[in-house]
Amino acid sequence: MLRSCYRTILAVHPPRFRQRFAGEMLGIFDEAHSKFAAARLVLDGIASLARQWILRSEFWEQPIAEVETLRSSGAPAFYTFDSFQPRNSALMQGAVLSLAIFCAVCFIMKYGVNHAVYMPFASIVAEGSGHESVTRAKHTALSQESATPNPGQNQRRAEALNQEQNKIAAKLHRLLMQAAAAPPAEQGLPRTEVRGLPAPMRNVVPDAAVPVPSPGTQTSTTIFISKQILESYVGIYVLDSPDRETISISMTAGELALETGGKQECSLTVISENRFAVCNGSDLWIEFLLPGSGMAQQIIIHDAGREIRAHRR
Amino acid sequence: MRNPVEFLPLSPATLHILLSLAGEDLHGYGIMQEVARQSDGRYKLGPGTLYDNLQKLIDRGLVREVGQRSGDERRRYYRLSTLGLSVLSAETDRLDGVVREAKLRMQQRQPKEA
Repeated sequence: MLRSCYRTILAVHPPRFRQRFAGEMLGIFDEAHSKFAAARLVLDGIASLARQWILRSEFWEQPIAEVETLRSSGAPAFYTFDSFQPRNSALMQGAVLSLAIFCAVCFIMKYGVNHAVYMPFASIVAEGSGHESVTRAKHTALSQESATPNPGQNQRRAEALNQEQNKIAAKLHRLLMQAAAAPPAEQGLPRTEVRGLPAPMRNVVPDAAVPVPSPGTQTSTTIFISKQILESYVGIYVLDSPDRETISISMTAGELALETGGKQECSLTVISENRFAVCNGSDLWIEFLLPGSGMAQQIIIHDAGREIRAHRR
Repeated sequence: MRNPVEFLPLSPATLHILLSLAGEDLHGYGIMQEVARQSDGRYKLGPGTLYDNLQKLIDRGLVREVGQRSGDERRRYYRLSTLGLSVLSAETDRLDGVVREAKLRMQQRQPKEA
């Protein structure tokens, strides 16, 4: 049993070592006078096996001269045409190939699945103009198109969306900076017109619901905004932009104001019950999305067909 | 011929193998027995270590095979080459110097401790 084991260990030694010394080592094993000594030799053989394969690579190959000698003497001899030990260049090529395959697998894992990318589409349509349904239909079609697996297209759209969101956030900042730099308006004077519309009233409301003229039409119409609704808009919202900036909606003396970063503040001018112009004279306007009841959970900041969303924190 | 000093210092196994072959040609098992005898049984060389060292010594030209002898074809005999003898001599001189230095240091140390 131990002898068979020892023979097997010798048989898996590197060819050159095996051919030169295996017979002698087996002869020494046969000289062992006890099982304990034989077991020690088996352990020695295992250590030798590890040593030869790990530390003695220079002795793995059979020298060609020895092979030729053996062949000429009529003894059967075998040798490989190629070097058993891989060449350095082959190792380098293997490393580069492995790296390339690894990168390819990582790329496939990252972009191989269809990521659901949220693609908002501006829907600034005058109510009752009839274009709303057309825009919605277009939106639906594009949404279905985006659902088809096209990783590259989705990535480009996401990048474009991020750029647009950044632009709106930057514009919002710029407007607030300008508002902070401008001299305060005198009390009682008419406000600057929004988009050339007649001077809108501020959204100042008493405790009870009161009529508020809206600049939505050429001729002012009166809408009613209760204080509870205005209070439901108050809060801190986090922009969907990559920077995750926060904007704060506050109400002072029945008047809504927008603030970013705790530095600049700008009043909101009413357009409709849930739509307000940001800083008079700008193209930005905010739409508050109310759930059935309670606080507004989301706002949309519109800017010339683009939009950015913010969620209540 | 290469300078024997290039091969120094020798590992214990190499030194014992060269030393065992200094007297006469021996086969592998004979070398193992001779090493055990030289060290009074305190240093036992396994076949794996023995043939690993023999392989290196043959490759470096310190030992050479002298073939088989009648009676046991499995056993090959090994002989110390001229270079191997020079290396063994150089190693012996080195060790002699080490021993001399060690004895001198020990003698200097003894009076201080007393």
